[in-house]
Amino acid sequence: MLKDTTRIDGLLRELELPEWVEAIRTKLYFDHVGEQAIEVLLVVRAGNEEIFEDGDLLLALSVKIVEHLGSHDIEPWPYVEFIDAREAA
Amino acid sequence: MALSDDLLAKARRLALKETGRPRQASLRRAVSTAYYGLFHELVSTSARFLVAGRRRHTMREALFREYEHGVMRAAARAFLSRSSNTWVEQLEGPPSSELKLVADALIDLQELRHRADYDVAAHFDRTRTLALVNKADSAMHAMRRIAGTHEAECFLLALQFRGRRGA
Repeated sequence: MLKDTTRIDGLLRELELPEWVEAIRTKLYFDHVGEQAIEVLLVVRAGNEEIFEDGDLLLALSVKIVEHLGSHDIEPWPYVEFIDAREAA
Repeated sequence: MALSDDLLAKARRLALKETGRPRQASLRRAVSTAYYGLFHELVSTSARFLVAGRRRHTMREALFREYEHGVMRAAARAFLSRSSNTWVEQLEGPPSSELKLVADALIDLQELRHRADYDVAAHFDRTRTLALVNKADSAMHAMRRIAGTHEAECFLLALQFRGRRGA
């Protein structure tokens, strides 16, 4: 069981994220079945709100994160969410 | 119209119910209803695949009740992360983007449906709720687009039968 998100944050920094990702916020928690999980919030830079309409792009990035963490044996499931800068403030 | 379409339409109406500031109760019910729309689509498609034939509808209805949210979630995770599992091993190539969309939506909506129903501290806004309803809608249509393909049939089996890890 992970105690903090240090390793996850490091692995996420390795990914080449698109320029419209302003920040990544991670948090460990227990999901609805009581398993340890990771909340991965990707903050979308102001002025790029049209990204929210591009389901393919968001899916591709979510899957990339799932695969990257999985390939490094990170067991908690990453629930990836996209939020706008206003919501993140 | 299929029940799953009705549920999605209902979810959208709930998200847009109030003309001004939406009530949390409406948004929470919208999230929950969107999940059940996708759930019903997947369960009915899987049951029709496993028990085909017009005269077997009572058998199919009995099978509907045998689907477990946890098994479906495990299946979606296995296909999305391509972990070693009986049904993932059956794939002839990487999952299509349609199948990834279905798996991703099932995982996310199941988690958020639980928050919507049980987490008193959770807050939903209209934009996010509508995005979730759209995600369920996109996933339902993606499932219909890949119906009959080998990968879809592997996934439909996995929704009912857990399969062995490391198969």
